[in-house]
Amino acid sequence: MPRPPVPDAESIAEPVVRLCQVEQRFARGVTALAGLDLDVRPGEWLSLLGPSGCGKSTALRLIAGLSQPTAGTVERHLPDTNALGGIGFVFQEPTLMPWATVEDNVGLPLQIFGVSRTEIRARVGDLIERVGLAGFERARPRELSGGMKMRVSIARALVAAPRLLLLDEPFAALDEITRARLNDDLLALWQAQGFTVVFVTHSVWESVYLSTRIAVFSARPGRVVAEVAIDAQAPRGADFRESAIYLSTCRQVSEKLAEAMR
Amino acid sequence: MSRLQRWLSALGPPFAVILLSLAVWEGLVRWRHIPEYILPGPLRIAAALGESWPTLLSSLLFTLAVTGEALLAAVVLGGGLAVLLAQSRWIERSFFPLAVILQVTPIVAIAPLLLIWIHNVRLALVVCAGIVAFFPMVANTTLGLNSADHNLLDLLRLYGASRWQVFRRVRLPSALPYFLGGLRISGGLALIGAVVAELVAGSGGTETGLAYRILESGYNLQIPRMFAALVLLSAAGVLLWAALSGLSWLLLHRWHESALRREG
Repeated sequence: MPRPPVPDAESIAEPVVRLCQVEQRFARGVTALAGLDLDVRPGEWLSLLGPSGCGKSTALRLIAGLSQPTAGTVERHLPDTNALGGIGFVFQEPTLMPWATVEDNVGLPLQIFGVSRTEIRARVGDLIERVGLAGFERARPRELSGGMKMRVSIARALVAAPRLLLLDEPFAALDEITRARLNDDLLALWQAQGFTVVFVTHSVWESVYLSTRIAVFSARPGRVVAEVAIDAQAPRGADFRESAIYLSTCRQVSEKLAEAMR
Repeated sequence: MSRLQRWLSALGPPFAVILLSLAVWEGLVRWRHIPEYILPGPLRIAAALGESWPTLLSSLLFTLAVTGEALLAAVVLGGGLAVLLAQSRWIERSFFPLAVILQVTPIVAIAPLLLIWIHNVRLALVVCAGIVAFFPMVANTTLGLNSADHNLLDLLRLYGASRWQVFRRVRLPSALPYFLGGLRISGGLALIGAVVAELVAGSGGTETGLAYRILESGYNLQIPRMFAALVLLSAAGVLLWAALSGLSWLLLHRWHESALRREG
């Protein structure tokens, strides 16, 4: 599968999202983010990497527009929320509706947008197929394994053809094997469809394997203290995990992370 | 294990305990020669039930009708109020205490007032029973509507869902298990409310419920008949509970109960 072109920073006039000197302070007095500058560039896979509690998830919520910063600006260059081609969000938990079938869970965004029944059926069927859940259309979440639930969640995030996919440590609760398989499947979907990804994780290995760029966060209050671009061509697979560039990048990112926590 | 075997193993022990208790009761009454106006044995009660069956049956139907109407009113009004309360914290804080006051004031104390205000005795009974059944519906449904998954609510906000869409797609289904739990409690309470109200009203005439039969039998020292009415009341309570549990199972077992097939 050919890799979509990931343009270099200089050639891009307009980032998808731009965070400028963002500060996020909560009512109970905790400052989660301070002085955060971050551009999300079209087509890239950007990982936000940092220790637990450094404000990565808070930054993701700001990018999504689910909360407003207490200082600084968040610019979003995306279509209106209530339409196709906007933002897809995958939480740490699958966050499915337990009473609804896989089909209905995946179709939720389209139902909200008021898309016609036939189009919903077509899109949902297609997405369920792509995430490898064919045959489980009528199943309820309780009947699925943890990995399968996460696949439903990913399918739901992608069904409305988002330009920006936000992932908040989606695989943290999964076992190693399921996690690796989901990584590869998600990577393939990204390569095929060319959306932009912002991926929150605390795994150096995972971020290097998946990303085109990693933003390393400092401890709280979080800001970006280092950026690492990963110039490895797709398709990334088992070979990439053993390549020199993978290992050296992991070492480099680990060092930056250690510095950030100092 | 076959279906029949499972039923037997589930229902066998409780039935055995009930039968044994009845046997001990009957034996005790006969052995100690307890007069029937103090404590009739189960066989005598069964006979009394047979003797007064037509009267008791019509009284049972009356009590059940009052209970059913009260429960329906509690569901509609209580559920409706819960929807209103769930709209904002401010509304909930303002109105919830009123519901609590209504709940904690003993219905026996309110019943005489209601009987003075409402001339139609039957309606007064329904109102009394409804007040008792009202609170669990409000409290449970409000809790249910507010306990929707916050991430799911965020997701809907992200997609620009309207208030109505959020309500219908997430809040209402999230509230369903809580609502049904409240319904089971309210069912039992409505029956108690109907009985208490009727005891206070002490109404006679053509249309009378089981509570009045109990009073009447007491005045006439027909203690076996009194027990027969009591047995019917218990049976009505059990039946109501079973029916509401069945409804709950019907609506929830696909997603809220266990016993589902698993992957591979």
